[in-house]
Amino acid sequence: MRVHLTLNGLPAEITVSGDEALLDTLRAAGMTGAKEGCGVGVCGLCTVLVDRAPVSSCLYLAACAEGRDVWTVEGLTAHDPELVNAFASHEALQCGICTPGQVVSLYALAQEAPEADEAQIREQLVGNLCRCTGYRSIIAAGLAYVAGH
Amino acid sequence: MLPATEPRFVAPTSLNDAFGEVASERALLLAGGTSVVQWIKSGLVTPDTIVYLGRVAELSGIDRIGLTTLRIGAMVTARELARSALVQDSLPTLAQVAARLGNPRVRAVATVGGAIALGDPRQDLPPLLLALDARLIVRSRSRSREIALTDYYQRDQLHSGEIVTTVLVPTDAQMRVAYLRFVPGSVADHPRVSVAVSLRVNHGGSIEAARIALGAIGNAPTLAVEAQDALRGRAPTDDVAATAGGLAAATAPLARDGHGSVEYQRAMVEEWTRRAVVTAASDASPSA
Repeated sequence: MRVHLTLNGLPAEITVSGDEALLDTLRAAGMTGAKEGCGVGVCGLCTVLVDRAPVSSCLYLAACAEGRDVWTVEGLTAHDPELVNAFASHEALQCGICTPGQVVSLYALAQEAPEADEAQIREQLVGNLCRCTGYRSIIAAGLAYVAGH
Repeated sequence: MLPATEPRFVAPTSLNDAFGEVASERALLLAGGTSVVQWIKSGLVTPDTIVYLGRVAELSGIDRIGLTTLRIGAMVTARELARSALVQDSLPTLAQVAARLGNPRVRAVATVGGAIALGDPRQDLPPLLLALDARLIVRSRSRSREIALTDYYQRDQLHSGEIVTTVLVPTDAQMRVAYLRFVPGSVADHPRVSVAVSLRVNHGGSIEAARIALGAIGNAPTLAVEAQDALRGRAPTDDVAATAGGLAAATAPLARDGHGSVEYQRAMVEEWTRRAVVTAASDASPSA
């Protein structure tokens, strides 16, 4: 079936099967920033934005995206390179596998809460798991991004 | 054996259209997808049609009916519940619980109708809505019926072709509400026990009405009826709360599961019911 949506700011038309997860559609289209970690929505590696809200794309059927506004890490970092600068300058990644999800979640928070504090950042990042950094550098990057936003 | 074919995906825009689609035996309703999409991916279900309810106009929205009832569309998400000024004002505990449900990605898609229909007692909304004495409107092409959530969990069930369309929650300025969840594991784990309490305390300081809903134990959220009875007519003191805890523990439908013995569950039900009654009694934010 054909799905029409806005993808990273541009109108897009994709062909998907009825039971296809948005994560698989995006990765097949070359947007491999979102990753499959747990496949059940608890790890956050697959985070994308749908209508400004962070969503687990591994559990979001592509067909549900009809008419919606979808952003991936590729689009968000192109739109606002400060996201990348904040993570790089705070060494907020090691292996990098969780990073796209962290970036997407933090971008969504900054849009809604331009003066978000550490508690709000921690709340927003519940469910964006990281095995490498211990989260402090990610939170620091988030605070810096919000401050500079 | 025939190879599995991909299911049809339909997104009806009205309830009438939706009723037509769910007539098929192997049609599967899709709300937020946090459970259903897992089932589909794992092959636990093999629907021939996925009926996505996200565009059905009648299932959205939150509004008041008169002064005493909040009407919540079945497809309202936890995120919408948390951000609704109406819910924050009239049912602040519901807004607070919705704001912390799962994680932000879950809240963006998880719906109140989906939570009720799934009936997983480990989730937060079912026991809370049970304590709030919620009612459901369930509709099919041929009829509409209103049932108490209590009855839905105890003896009713959805018949083929029926859809939960609306949740009705009484709003009572005198109601004090608390919801506590005991999570011995990590923040992403389900609770070992959760307790939702609503108390109506009169101006004389005694409990006129009490509902105590236990979550995360048994197969469905349940009311601790004997504990509720013991609260009525009493002042909400610590001793009274302790008595309620003991009764809730003695009567809870417990069975050994993968997360603890019956003795452990009983001890946790007792303690967390006691705490929830104490917390509800001191709830200083009754609805306007």
